[in-house]
Amino acid sequence: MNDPVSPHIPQSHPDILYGAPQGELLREEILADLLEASAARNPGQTALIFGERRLSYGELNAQADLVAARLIDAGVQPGQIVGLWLPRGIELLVLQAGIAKAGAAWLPVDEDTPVDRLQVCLDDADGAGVLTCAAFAPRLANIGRPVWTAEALLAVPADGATLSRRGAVSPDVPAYVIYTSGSTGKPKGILITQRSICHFLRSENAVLGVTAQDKVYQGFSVAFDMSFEEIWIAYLAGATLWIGPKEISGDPETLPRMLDENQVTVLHAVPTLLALFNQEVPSLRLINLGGEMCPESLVERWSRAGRQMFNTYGPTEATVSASLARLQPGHPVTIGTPLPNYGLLVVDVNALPALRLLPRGEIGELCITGPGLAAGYLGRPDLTEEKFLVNPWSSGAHDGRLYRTGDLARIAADGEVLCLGRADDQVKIRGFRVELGEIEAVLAQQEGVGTVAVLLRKDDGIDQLVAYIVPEAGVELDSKALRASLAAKLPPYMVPGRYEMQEAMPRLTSGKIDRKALKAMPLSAPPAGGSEDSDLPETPAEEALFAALAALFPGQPVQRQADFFTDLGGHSFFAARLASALRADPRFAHITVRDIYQQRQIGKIAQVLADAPKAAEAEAGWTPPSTLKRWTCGLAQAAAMPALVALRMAQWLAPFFTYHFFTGDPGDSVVRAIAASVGVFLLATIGEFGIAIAGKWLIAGRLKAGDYPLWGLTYYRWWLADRLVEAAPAYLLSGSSLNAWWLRALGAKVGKDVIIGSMTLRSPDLLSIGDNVSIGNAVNFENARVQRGRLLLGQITLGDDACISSFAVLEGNTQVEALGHLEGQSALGDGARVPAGRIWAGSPARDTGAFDTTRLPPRPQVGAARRLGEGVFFIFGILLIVTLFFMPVFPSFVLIDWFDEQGWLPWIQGDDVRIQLLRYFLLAFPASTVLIVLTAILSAGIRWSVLPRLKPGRSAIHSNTYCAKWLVSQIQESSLNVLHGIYATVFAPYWYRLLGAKVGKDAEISTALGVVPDMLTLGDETFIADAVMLGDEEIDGGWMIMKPTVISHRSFVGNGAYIPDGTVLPEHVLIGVHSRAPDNDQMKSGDTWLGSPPINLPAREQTSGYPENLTFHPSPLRRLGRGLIEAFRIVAPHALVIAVGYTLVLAVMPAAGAGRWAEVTWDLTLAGLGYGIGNYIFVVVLKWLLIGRYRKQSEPMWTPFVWLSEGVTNLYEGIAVPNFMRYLRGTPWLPLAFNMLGSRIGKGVYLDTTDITEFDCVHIGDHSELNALTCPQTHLFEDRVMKIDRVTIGKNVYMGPRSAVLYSAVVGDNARLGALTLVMKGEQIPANGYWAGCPAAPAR
Amino acid sequence: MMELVVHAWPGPVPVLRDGLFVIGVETSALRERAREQVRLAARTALAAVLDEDASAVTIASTPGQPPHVSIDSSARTIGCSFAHEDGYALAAFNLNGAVGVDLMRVQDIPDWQAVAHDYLGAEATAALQATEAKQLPQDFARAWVRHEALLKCAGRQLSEWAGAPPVAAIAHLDLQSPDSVALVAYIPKPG
Repeated sequence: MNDPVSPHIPQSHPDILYGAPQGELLREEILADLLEASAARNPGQTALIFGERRLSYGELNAQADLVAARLIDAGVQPGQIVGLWLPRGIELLVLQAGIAKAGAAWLPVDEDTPVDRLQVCLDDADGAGVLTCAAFAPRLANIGRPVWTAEALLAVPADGATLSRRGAVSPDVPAYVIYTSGSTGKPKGILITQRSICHFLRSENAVLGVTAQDKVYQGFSVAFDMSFEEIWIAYLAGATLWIGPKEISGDPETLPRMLDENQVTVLHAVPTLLALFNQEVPSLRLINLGGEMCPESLVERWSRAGRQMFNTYGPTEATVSASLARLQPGHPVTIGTPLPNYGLLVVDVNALPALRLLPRGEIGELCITGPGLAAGYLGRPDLTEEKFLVNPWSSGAHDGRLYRTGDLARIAADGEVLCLGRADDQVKIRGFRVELGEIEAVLAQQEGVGTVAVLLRKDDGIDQLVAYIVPEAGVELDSKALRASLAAKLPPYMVPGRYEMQEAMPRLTSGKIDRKALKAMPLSAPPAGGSEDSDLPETPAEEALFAALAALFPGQPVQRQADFFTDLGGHSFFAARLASALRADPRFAHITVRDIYQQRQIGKIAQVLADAPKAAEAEAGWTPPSTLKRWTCGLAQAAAMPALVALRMAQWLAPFFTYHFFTGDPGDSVVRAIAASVGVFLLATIGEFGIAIAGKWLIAGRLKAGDYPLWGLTYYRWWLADRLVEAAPAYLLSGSSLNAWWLRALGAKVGKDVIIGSMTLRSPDLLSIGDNVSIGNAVNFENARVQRGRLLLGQITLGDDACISSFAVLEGNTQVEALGHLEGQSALGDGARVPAGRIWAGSPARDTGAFDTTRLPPRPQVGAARRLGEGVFFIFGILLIVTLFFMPVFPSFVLIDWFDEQGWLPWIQGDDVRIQLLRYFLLAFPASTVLIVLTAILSAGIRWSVLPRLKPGRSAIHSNTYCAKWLVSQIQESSLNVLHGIYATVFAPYWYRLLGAKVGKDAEISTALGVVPDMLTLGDETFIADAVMLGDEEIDGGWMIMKPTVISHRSFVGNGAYIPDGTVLPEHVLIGVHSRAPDNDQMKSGDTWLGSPPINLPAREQTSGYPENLTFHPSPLRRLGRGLIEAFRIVAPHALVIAVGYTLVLAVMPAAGAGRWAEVTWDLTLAGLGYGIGNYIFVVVLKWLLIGRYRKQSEPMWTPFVWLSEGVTNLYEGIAVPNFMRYLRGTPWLPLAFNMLGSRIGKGVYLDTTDITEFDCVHIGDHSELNALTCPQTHLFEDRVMKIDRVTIGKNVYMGPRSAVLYSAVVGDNARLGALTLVMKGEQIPANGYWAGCPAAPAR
Repeated sequence: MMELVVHAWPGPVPVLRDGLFVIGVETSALRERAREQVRLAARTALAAVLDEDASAVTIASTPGQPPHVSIDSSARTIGCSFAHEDGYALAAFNLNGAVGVDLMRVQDIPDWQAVAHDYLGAEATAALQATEAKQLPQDFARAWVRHEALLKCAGRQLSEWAGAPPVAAIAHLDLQSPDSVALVAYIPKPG
């Protein structure tokens, strides 16, 4: 601790530092008085030495008198301001003294200052004239004021002339005015009074103790007020001034030598100057440092016995200095304590302009009080008012005002003041407030550091702190070491990143460091962003990590051993940002914020970054199978196709044929014909199951889990078996115990009392189901899929009491343990496992809690008798229903026969097949209408006569209620074979009402699955899009739960969405594509919910601009138009079937009659095949004729375009897919078939889905793999406007089962989409990325 | 939503509100030192509120766990949570159960979208995307502190979005400075 300069006596306020009260220092005097007193005391004493010249005090005084007299004669009044512009030397000081003696004030300007500046200052100060020398005088030609040269002023007077003398001069007149640069660019002049400066000189010397014996170095420019300390303290004491020649004033070699030679004893200097001295100057007994921050090293170096070192601090506005510290080695440098009669206090920066005094220890703005305060700024009353304030804590005497220094400081506990740099030298680095002065202070304390300045620079857009250091003479500084010491004391963001060593600091004329010049200097060699102390990255992971760290912590060195948190100053938010930044690179998509917490060290984080899990590397290139292989398989598949198609056609052709075989001749019994036909039909139906089972075992055998090459032999066998199995009408078994037997027959292991709604199962051998398992509706066991050119077959294991809800999808190699629950619309990806008793939900499925076993009563036990009874019931029920729904066909036949006999349409008669086709097609129209109407009535009739209205509630699955509900569902399903055309037409609501649902006005229903009509309420103007699972019953633990499901007014349920049982959607709610409705209590009217798990989106784009008559409230004419087109669309397929059937039968009947059964079979087979392909061609032709090319467009719903488009789609789905295209799934032919419809699908694409509607809008790159149930969703209906746009899927893209890509999205090459992944509108999946989830996000 | 006052500490004894109180402490900018300072302040403040001796109060911190309060060596179900920002720290207490507090300087974050998407979930991201650019730094900071406070209240560490953190009551903190936002999540007294 420095010795206190003066003991401070607490006066009016304990938080204000007061200098020693020494009233005697305040006198009624002016500068001239001081000089004259010294001259009077010792006129012979040398006053000035300049080179060889010397001037004694007497001479100085006399010459000054001369100058003063001439000035007075020229009219200069006391207190008037005159410029002073001369080169350094004796004349300068003499003229200065002369001005003082005239009682005037000088405006000193450094000799190097340009004239313009002088002019500006003079004008501002309203100067009376300029004192200069002859050499400079010419440049002042235009100054507009009197110019007095030294030569003239000092000219020897005429003998005997009396010199004018000044009169009484008040000490309150200006003594000098010094101009400093203002922040606005205009210099501001600070006016100091005679009283102030005289008091200061006495005050400071009371401490410094300069005496007449001293020889004082005069090196400062007179424009800098530190020159007063040199010159006028010397005059006060009567000391000798040794004026340094200009050329040596900065010379580190010559100056100290000359000081030494001349035995200078007192040095006033800026610390940098002293730091540069390359030799000791033993004669110096007093060193007074000021003007900038003083490094400790300087104190160390220059302290010696017998020498006093001081640090003074003060703005010009407070008259040179206000505080002073005695410096001692080993003690921190402060600005000390106030000079006698001065006061220092610290105020709260944030409270300004109000003055709030801060107690010791707190940082704030330093303020000065005392008699030394300037009057103010010349001509700037506003600025003066801002900086010179009334002192609220005035103790009366001379501290009525205080001056705000603009410096930050803190009063230490011991009463010393620490200056912390400019208040506006607070800069912001990455949001942190940093006092550059504080950093400079710490740096200055380091060994070997001479002068230091710290700046905030922005290089290459990065903010960083740069330290400019002038090392001590002969010292080599190590940036690393400096940084390390700073890091130990300062927060990391305050440690400069760069250390620029300098020879010297650029300086302003005042001697202060020229920060602007420093900033303008380009940084030295090391490239920006990398600090020379950073480690160099050696691996790609390190490169990415170091780059990300450099961006987050600019300028800080990145070293492997550095700890992210303690060394770099990171915290949780930075860790989060770092993880996100790293994940932008798909190579590092696996890194999580947890990794950063766990590893902490940069090197370790880089290691974890590099250790990508295998899955992420899989996205690196793979070779698709060869074209040869592909087409070999394709040909083999083509070879099998006719048989497949024929088998399908046989299912209706055979009974058709049978009926007609047994009729047509008189005497034939219609009843017998019907019976025979029905018999054949039933055989054919059962036969389909039989063929599927036999085919599967014969062709595929038992396929083991593993991966097999795509298009290879195993693939072919699996494919063929899959086609056969898929062709079987398994929907008939839905919900019955027969389903389990069917699976067992196919090779699955199924436990006891397993209830299955409906499912797709791709590899039956690899399914193992425990006891009491419940599986909902439309569940996808996609345990066979094609990925990266391999067919992957995986095991799915469901433990006892497990429950898989509707619309869930499971890939192979998954497991649901006992009591595990997989919620609806969830995806369990390859390798995932639901632990025992846990509920998993979402896509990808995540743990959402434990399953509460008390939620349901215990599973009801069921005896064998009951089970047997149920089995019989189911079998009987299936056969009955199937038959019943086959029956309406016969009245149509009868009708056509009758038309024929009656000779209808005589003009279309003939033996030509085409004519016959046309004839029967036309005749079939009314007949088909009869068929359809009858079917509808039959369904409703059975349903309402046999079964009561279902009530919501819970019943056991082995109960009569369940059986009743099952029957209702069977009726729905079976009727839909005939009535599938009703979907998405204006007739659909009527059909549902017929079945018992409550459907409001203008509701639109495309395809709703799982509907329990008694439970369903659809409000007015609701919209149910395609393949929506709408409120199907919940089955779990041996119980069936049915709850009312309500979709309120104008709500919209998107394609493939899942509405759980009991959902009540408020009005105007949108459930997005493939999304799951959230819990009822989460939804509010107007919400938009998207995804699984569903998230609430804040707003949705409203499609506006279409009149209501095209969207919600069409005119009767439009209703009629649509109704007609749709009626045609419903009837036409049936008419076609009947027409073809009739024509065919007619054609083969002769052969049949002749007993040529082989020929009959062959002909029928061929015809069936032709029909299948014909369906496809028909749709192709229709599409091109009616639509042309689909392109990006939006059309409101009630327009012909939409009806036609929907018509084509419906026919495509209704006849082309089931009769032909579904057999092309998984073959190289399917892409070709789609390309004929307008798609752009590349070569080698594996396509296992037919879910493409706006064909031209689908672009799929070569070798991509679209697995089962994937969908490029090229259209959406929102707000009843059909919007169509393109879906672009790149090359080598893998789409997992049930994935969908919405229009205007682009999936990059080689990307991978997990199961049930939804790529949103307009989203761009990066190439090689692995994304999963609904909505899609980078997979981890 | 409740607004809680931040009591400057040292200062007058904090007043409980619904069993909650929050103190604000000026700290060193160095994180390690700041942690010590806020913990000391927290102990003395809690002692003052409970009218106990400061030496009887201990707050134990294990990394990855919420701070654990015990008085006279017996554990108490007093929730405690800390938050730091440069040079300032908050300590929150809930005498009735768990509490989480977070503090964040409002700042411009160029990569906010990726960060929000990864950690705050799609819903919050969508809400931020709908915000005006001017308001974004504030709203982002609010969303972030809310998320962190809820996580801290549930005793969970920050990790990538894996579903919303468990629900808790929320109280805003009045910091009297627009530069930062802070928020407290707490489990209120049942009933």
